[in-house]
Amino acid sequence: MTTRISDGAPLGDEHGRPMDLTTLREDDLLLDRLGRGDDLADADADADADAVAATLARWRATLPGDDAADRTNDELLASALAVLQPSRRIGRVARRAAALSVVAALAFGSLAAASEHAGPDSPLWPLTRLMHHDRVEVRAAADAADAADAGVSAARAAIDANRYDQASRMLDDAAAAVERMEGAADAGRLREEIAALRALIPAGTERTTAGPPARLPSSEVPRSVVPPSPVDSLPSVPTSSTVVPTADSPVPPVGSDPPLVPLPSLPTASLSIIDGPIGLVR
Amino acid sequence: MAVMFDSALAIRAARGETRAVAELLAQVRPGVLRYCWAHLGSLANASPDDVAQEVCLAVFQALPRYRDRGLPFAGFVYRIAANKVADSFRAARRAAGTRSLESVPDQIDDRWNPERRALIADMARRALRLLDDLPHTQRQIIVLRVAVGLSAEEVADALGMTASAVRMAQSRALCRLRERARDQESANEADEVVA
Repeated sequence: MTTRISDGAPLGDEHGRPMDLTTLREDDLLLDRLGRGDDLADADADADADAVAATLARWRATLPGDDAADRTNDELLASALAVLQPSRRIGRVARRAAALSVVAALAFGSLAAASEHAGPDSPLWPLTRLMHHDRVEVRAAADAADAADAGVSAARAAIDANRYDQASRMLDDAAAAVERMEGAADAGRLREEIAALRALIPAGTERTTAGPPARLPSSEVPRSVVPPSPVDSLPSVPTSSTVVPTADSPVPPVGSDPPLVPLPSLPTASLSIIDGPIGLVR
Repeated sequence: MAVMFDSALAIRAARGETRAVAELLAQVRPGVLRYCWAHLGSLANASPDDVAQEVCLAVFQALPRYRDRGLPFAGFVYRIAANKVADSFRAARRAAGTRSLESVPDQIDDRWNPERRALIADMARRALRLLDDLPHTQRQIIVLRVAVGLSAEEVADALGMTASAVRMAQSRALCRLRERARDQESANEADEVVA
């Protein structure tokens, strides 16, 4: 009878003669014992009768045992770790590079978004100029228009107060700001206003150029010549609506010069620190 | 007996975990060493120890690619071993009659004792001559089962067969070897009668 095993293949020798399960099992056990290096002569008296098993057992006995394999394990382990290192390192470098590029992309994206509305006093301003060039130009033109408007208003107030020198300088600054407006719609109107105000300044008043004002050493700046700031930058300018006339501060008669805005006291030591702004004053 | 190869351990070793590498090396090396001695032990100008070392390093070098192949780990190891042994066998045959310095081990052990080496070479020659009559697959099965010490299941993994097919093939191989041994014995007896 032909015995079948689990995978359905018919059991038979190479001549087609049937092989029984007992033979299969015995051969399997024999090979297991040979593979372990068991001494067949002691374990099985029938082994002597099987010349093939005896030859295979003697062959197996001459082969190195597990103890021989352990002898150079340390050296081999170091070599095995060494050959694994490059792939390990490459994998680690690639993972780090990928993580860094993601972080860099996120950071750059966030900075670019944040820089969109940054002003000149912001640390992100250089990035804004790089990333949002058109926006920077628009902003510069708007700032110049604001400065020109403020300058014209302040000059008008100075002319009203008969401070013509001061008014002239303010008009120069306003004209320089108008030049920075680069074709803005208000530029023409502001030029006309500046020309009209210049016409109100009596001839003989020193006319300055529109170029950058000469700087004076801060130590030479007399406190009395510090001009009032543009209207919007005055620390606290009393207006007619906010000033309540009292006995100590009588309302000046109509037609007389309005009193100068009292200046805050400037400590001498601080002049050197604010050299820049002071340097603009002539 | 050889420990059943652990594919999960191989994957951990491929990540470079030192402990897993050491454990896997301890599992792989004894069988690889015997495999090399079984095939090359009969050649005077071959160094089975060095070839076994090369096989182990080649296994670890190829380990990062192991996951992608879908091959059982025993098959992965003994395919590499078979290629290295075949290369060394050809090189040893080409250099027959000479002996390169590389084939002499740095540390002489018992296996390099001339008497012992002669015995090993003689036994390897007899065994391989015995197995020469077998078809290629049956010969591989007997070498892996006896010399390396793999189980029928591990041999099945290594050769891409089922364990049942391995058991059947190994029984057929033994049956064939026993028949040949009987024929040889009968021939010897006949020679003695004639004499």
